[in-house]
Amino acid sequence: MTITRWLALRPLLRSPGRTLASVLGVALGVAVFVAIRLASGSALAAFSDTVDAVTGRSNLQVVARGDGFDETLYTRVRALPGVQAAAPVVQVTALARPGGILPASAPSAPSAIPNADGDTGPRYDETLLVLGLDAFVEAPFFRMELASGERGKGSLSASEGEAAAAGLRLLAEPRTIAITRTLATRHGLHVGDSLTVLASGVPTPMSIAAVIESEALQQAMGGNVVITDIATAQEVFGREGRLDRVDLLVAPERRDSVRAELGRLLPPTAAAELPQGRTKQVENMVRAFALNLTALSFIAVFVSTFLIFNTMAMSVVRRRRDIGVLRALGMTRGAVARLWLSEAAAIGVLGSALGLLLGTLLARGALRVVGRTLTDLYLVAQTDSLRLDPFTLSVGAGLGLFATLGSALLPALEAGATAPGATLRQGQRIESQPLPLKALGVAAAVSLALMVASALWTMSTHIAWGGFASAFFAIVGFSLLAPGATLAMSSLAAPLAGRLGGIEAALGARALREAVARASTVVAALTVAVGMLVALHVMVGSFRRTVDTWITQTIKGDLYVEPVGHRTSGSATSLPPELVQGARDLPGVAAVDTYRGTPITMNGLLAFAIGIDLRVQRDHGHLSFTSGEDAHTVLTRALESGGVLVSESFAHRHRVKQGDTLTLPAAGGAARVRVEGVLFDYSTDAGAVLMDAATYAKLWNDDRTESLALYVKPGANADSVRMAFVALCGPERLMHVTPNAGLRRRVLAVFDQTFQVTWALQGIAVLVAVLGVVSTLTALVLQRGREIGMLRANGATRAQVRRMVLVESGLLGLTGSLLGCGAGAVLAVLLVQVINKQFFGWTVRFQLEPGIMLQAVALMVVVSALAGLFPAQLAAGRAAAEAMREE
Amino acid sequence: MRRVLVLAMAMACASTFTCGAVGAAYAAAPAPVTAAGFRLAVPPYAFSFPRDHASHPEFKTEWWYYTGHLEGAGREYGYELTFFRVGLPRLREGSKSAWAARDVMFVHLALTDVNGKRFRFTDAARRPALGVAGADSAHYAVWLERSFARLAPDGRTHELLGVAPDFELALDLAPGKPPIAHGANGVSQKSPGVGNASHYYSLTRMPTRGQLRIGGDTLAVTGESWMDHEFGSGAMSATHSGWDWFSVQLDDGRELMLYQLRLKDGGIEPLSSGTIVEADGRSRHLSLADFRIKPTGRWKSPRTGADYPSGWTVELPGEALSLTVAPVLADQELAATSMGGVVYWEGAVRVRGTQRGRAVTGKGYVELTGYTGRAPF
Amino acid sequence: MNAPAALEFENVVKRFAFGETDVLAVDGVSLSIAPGEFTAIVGRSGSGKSTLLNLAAGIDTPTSGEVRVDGRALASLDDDALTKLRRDRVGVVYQFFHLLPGLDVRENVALPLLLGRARQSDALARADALLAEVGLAPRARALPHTLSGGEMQRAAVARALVHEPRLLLADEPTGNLDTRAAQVIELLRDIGARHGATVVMVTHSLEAAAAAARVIEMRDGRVVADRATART
Repeated sequence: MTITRWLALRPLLRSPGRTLASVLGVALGVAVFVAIRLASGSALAAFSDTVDAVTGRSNLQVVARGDGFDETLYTRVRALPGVQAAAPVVQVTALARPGGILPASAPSAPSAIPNADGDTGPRYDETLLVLGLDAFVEAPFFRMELASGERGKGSLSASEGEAAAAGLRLLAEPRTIAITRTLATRHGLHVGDSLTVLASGVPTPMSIAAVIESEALQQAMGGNVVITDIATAQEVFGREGRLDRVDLLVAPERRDSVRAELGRLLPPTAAAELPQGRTKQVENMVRAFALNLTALSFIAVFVSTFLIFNTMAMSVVRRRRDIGVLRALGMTRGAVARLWLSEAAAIGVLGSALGLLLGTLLARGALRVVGRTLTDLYLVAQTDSLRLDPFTLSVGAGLGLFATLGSALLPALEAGATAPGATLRQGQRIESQPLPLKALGVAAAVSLALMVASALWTMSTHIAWGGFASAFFAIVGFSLLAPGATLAMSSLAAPLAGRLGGIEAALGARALREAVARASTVVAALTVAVGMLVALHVMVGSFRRTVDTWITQTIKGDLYVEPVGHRTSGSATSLPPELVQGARDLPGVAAVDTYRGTPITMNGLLAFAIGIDLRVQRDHGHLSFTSGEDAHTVLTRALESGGVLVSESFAHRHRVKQGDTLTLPAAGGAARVRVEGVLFDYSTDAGAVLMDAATYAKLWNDDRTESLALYVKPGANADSVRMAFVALCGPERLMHVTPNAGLRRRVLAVFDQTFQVTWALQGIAVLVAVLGVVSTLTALVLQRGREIGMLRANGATRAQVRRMVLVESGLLGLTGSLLGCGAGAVLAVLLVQVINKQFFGWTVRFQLEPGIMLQAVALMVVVSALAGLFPAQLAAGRAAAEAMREE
Repeated sequence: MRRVLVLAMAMACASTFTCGAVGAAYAAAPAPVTAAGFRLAVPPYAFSFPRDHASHPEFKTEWWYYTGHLEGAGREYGYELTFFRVGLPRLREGSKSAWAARDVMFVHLALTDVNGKRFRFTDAARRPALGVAGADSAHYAVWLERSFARLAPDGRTHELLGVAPDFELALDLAPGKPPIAHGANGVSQKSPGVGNASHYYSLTRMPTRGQLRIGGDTLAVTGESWMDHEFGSGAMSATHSGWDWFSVQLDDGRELMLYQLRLKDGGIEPLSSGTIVEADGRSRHLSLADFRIKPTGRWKSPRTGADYPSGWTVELPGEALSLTVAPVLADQELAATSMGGVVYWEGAVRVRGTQRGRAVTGKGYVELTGYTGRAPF
Repeated sequence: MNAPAALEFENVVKRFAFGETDVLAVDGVSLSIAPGEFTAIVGRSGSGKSTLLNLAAGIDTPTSGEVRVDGRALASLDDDALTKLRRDRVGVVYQFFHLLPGLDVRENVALPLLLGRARQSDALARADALLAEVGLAPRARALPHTLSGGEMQRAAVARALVHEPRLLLADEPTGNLDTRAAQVIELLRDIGARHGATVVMVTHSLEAAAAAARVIEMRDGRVVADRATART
């Protein structure tokens, strides 16, 4: 222990800069990993808590697959033997604001009219989970514990009476609700006050009749839970006849038999699930999202292992003579290796600890972004409470430690292998052995071959992780090319540098060759960081352009109309038929497309069934199909056969193609439909099945409309049509009326938001690489102290020394970034054509971006040169004599 | 008057709406209604059977009340099976939701094991939605979950099923005597004021047979039951603190029903009344002046702390009838758990006494409300 | 039974390969040094005397022949056993002292004990005692680069002796010193005698060698003279 402290830890303290760089490298890697896992874990946990809270003590549930199921199912479910209690649930997510409805302003008043982006005056910015329950059967589930307002000091019996009175009011009086204490406190709401919810865009004031006492519900959805009578929920949200769930209490020993019985009883629109089941489904959705981010966070860790490796290897070289002495004094090989490992362990422990701290801080930010993305993509409610999951924290710490020790292993073994005699006799040597260039080259070739092989394998077998394996091999392969590239760069650059920058530039270029082993790890780190940067840019850029083109070409409606809150409430939204007809009759309107959709579950995966007006699409839209067929042909065929169109991602996920027959879990019973075409669609990665509104109405017994697309007659003014439509809606219904351009902007904004985290992670990987450059260069310069001293003694000016170091570091950056561009191009192809294809099934038109590559190269050269500034200053500033004195 | 008007009152008054003014519109013929639109019980009312067994949703409150004494395998039991329908303020008119509640249904089921000295009780409340509970207004049938009371296809027999977690009672009740209407002109007045009354009739002696399933055994049981059916929309008077209600089936073939409404000031509501039914089915109205009820003992509930009278002497000077009423079991208290949580005592009693020196015996049921010390209703 | 020799060489040959050319550093040396003997090996630079010392310390291995310490053939030991032998039985004073720059003087001295798993406090106490013995107690907390050559030399001697080796090897102990060389030789001899160690000193200085009881002269890797001095 003493030895470890003296010989492993003290050196760390003696060069705090280098230690800090290593520690930071590890910390950033760990932090990113931890932040991403914590954030997505917290989002999931919040969801699962909400599910638990709204599930009460139920141990089996009948859950709607999509837009509710027929409520008469309830009577059959509750009659099953083994069912001890059954509670019907209507559950809707809706936007709301505290207080009553705002006085209706005149239609001309600007606040009442949605602006071009569809924003309305009053802000409905609370997302509420509205639970419609039947108080009479709630007792076993412990959800409806109500109090009438502020908790008095009155007797128990009095408060029981109050609770009963409150419950009665919910039962008898329409538009009454109970809210959580959390929500009441947040907005200073009291019993008797109002809370206005948006129901299909109509602000509907609800009177607060009671306060929910149940503890579990206080935190669900961050307390944004509202309980109403089940009738109220159906009335307000137009969900009469439908239930979203039946929560069951089943004798535990009969749960399996009840479940099996339900399996026979239930229509395709409902499923029997254990309460955990629902979390599982969302977990699956979130997993793909989290996996991508985790893969990115591994890149940061990967880059930092280069850094650790380098630090350790340099430490071995620098202290080679010490090792010889220790060996001569009687330290065994193993002890020497352990010494270096414990030095690494110290860095690992510090880095991991710092990483956990940093990660926890980062996670708060990430949670906002991740949460928003999850909300946008999957309608999962947002949370702001971060959960410090001990498992994630320990995995993070383990990762940091493991990466550090792993990357220190080689240098440690090399240290152990130091022969005492030779070292003492020959003094210090830079490297123990020349780099095995040939072996590295072979390894690189093998790795790149494996990359191609696993990419091809993934494309033929559709096994998603193959794509990641392929990316991994690409990264390893290109990293292994780094030493060769460094030598090549040195050879190429030295004469050129000499001619351009004089002897000091030539010396700088040559220094790369002499320190190739160290320099090439930095080059490799840069390669990986730049590679990811370029690859992500190319991927996201290609993707964004594809989406943009898709919107521009296929989304042809002039005005898109949906009630405010539609994106929150989803299928629990409907527009009155007279409004739809009214829109059709507006002067200047050529056609109106209607939209109705429901989530469905097929093969255990989420998808969407969507009814639109195919006739309108055929005559006015520009849908584009993978077969290359003309939209008119495909849509006519679908209209004639009553068949469906599936999105590319649906076709990919469910392995269907044009001409196949599909069995849809429709509300009216399983329906077999023919796939008439596969269309390009980037609106959801879950996959969509599109059909004519009439077909949808028939299959789902549902002819309601959620939203509209208005096609304006040629020559008519879209803006005046918009005004006319807003007037038609009247002031009592809040609508987003979005012009085509606005929709495009919005889609792209959501798109960009989705990749925010990606950029943050990318930035961190680059930061780690830069740290590596700084610390390695510093070490290299210090190591060459004698040589620099000699140069100074022989007449090199400070400026010349500085230039020498800058040339060296600049070349380092150039080599790394050039190699990184190559790696990036290859990775981009993998991301677009293999990984994205496997995960989402989207066709993305690949487009290389030389601009980005140039920028990356320029950036890296400048950054590396800047990173070299400090060591250059250091080198130039050292007195010649001092440098010489150091043996 | 009976019973669980409590429920109606608790429910309507505790909420913020429409308890108040009754009869704002009664002046207008034909049928006066409450502010909430419920029809008031006003004379004259002519009962018609079997139609009047069925539900009367136009009235706010309604109950079907069966009590009786059973014997099987040498053991004696008392039972009570009651269905209540309480009309809610009509605020959800026009709702398209099947769950929109116009009424709430309650069931109370109690079994007194006379030999085993044990009292069992269960209760539940449901909204009449999707057939889970209900009261048919055309043909007599009321039900809640599996429990029901209904008129058999023969138009005479009342079929009952009472389901508790630990016992089930399935009975067929035959009308031993025709229905007896209480009060005058088809109206039983509870307190002064138009509509503070109910339509109230009884089937005072119903030969009963059926099955009691309890503790894994199924017993064939026989005995006699009493059915009350009452409906009205009147408000409880604010001056009342509760009531004591007695039903007695004498072994000589006569029946007696008496109730006294207790006033908060300690007195008795002058409108308290009763009915005596002769063996041949003829009945006479009894006013408060015709009877005297005196408690002879007390029982304090360890469960709720309510202090009930326990054991009475009943004097009917006009009939020269003097009775001693003794509970078969002191603890026959029902503490309901469903909405509102009413607490009352309702139990089987044994009756013995004299009439003009001749010994009379009988069985009965007594209901006591308003003894919990808190708000009476 | 006679005790085995403290150090024996038997036909030891050591050849170094420098690229294409071989250098024969030690060419068939056989000699035996008795326990407690104070021996000097002298010769010019390149005569192979330092190599001989490294072979004796087990930090180099002979190309052929056998080196025995306390009768144990070094070739029969694996690296760890050899390391332990060095740690437990042998002390070396190096020409360039080879003090570890990061540790202060007493820590440097205590190091061999700690490598042998001694407790830190014991090791430091022992180091302090030895430093007192070599007259370096006032500099115990100094870092090596602040020491003068003589002080470094004495620190190196203290370190070599701290674990009470049976065999003390010294490589040019006076080589880097201009003055007070005699003092160091005295120190080696006295302390060696006090601790009962066998001392083998490599030196190019005849003056230093004169202090030894036995002087072995080497030239071109061979022993050319081996004589007892008057001091025996």
